[in-house]
Amino acid sequence: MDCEAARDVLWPPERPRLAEGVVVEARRHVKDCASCRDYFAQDRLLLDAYGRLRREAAPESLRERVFETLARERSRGSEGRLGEETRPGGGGRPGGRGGSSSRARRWTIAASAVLAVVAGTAGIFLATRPSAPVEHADMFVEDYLRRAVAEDRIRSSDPAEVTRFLTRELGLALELLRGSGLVLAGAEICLLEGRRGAMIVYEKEGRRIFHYVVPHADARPRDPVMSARLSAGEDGVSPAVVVWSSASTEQALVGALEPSELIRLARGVAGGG
Amino acid sequence: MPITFEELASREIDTLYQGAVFLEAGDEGAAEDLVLTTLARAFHIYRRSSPDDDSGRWLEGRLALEFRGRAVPGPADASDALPEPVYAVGVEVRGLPEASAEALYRGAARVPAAARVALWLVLFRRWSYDDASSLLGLDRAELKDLLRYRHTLVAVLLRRNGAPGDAAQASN
Repeated sequence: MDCEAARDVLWPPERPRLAEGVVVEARRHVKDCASCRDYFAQDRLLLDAYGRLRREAAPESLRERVFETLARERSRGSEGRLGEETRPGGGGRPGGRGGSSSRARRWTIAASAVLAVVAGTAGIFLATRPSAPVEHADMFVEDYLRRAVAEDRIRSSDPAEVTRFLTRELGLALELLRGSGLVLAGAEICLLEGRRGAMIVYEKEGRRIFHYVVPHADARPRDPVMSARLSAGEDGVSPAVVVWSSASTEQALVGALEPSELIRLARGVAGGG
Repeated sequence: MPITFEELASREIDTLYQGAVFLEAGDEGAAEDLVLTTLARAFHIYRRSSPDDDSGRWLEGRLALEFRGRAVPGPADASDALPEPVYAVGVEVRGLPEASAEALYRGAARVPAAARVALWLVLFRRWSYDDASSLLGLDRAELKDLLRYRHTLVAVLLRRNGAPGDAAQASN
């Protein structure tokens, strides 16, 4: 067996192989051939160098650009609803970090007291399967905590304007919450576990309620339930978390309201998102 | 469970970015554009995968094709001469200091774009010869010709790590 044949048989070297005759012969050749030993040693050298490169994660700015672009492409194709993943042909105009015509204004979230309380909680569950126990809703709370300077947000109490913003950014025709004393304050785009979603902000009696909506084509409808890990209301200030999902979205309400009130609000829109 | 394209992109974006930086010989801006374009185009032809499909590998192929389609010929493409093998005679490769990513980029810059694609797929992403040939529309011999440019990468890495002068230099 010559060098080329031996190297072909043993490529890639880390792949498990049955000790068949040709494999045994190739390994014997490499063992006795300085050139082939150099060849595979160089392979390790190159992999080692590439391994250093692999420690570099994609920049956050790139991730944002990618998901912004995908959201726009999806909304153009789906016309306000989540459409098919499959589309004919190629193309697709790559988007940069350009803004839309109604660019978001800066939003200052004066929720330090609530943030401090939420940061001290153990964790929150999010139900992901109808028959499974309520699991973690940490991704909603994590985004809630780390949100500081952000783009792609709108500050408006006009439901029509906020709805247009959400439709444009997410491709969703979303039903907003309705409740006595509930005032719409605006919305912003968020990224939760790699999925682009929205956080709609309401105010009631000086307290803020955050309605998270994350498109998820494989979501299974579930009724609103309170997070099992947080006993909301016992300490008086701990925010409650109510989670539910429709056929195309996962949703949550987070806010310093009575759990029963959050569930009532959630049931008002459950199944409509 | 079939996943959405966004979930796939989120899972694979680091791998794609790392590959793009190599393909673009360390130019991070160009690498970001390459990844963005690749994912934007792939979105329109993605089919919800079954658990048996390797969607990550599919995206790697898309990245390779996107790069090959847009690559502008550089100095490394000017020569038709294939590099000569580098024999690290008398040099214990394992004893060399750790090779840096920057050295790899410099090596990549010396390699023709078509060869860079082949090297990335086969050498670093461990594609089989058959799969790489099929993707790139090459026969096995053509692919192997491109893979000989690994000697250029090795030569740069060895030189960067102070290899003795008796190591034959690859032609550039």
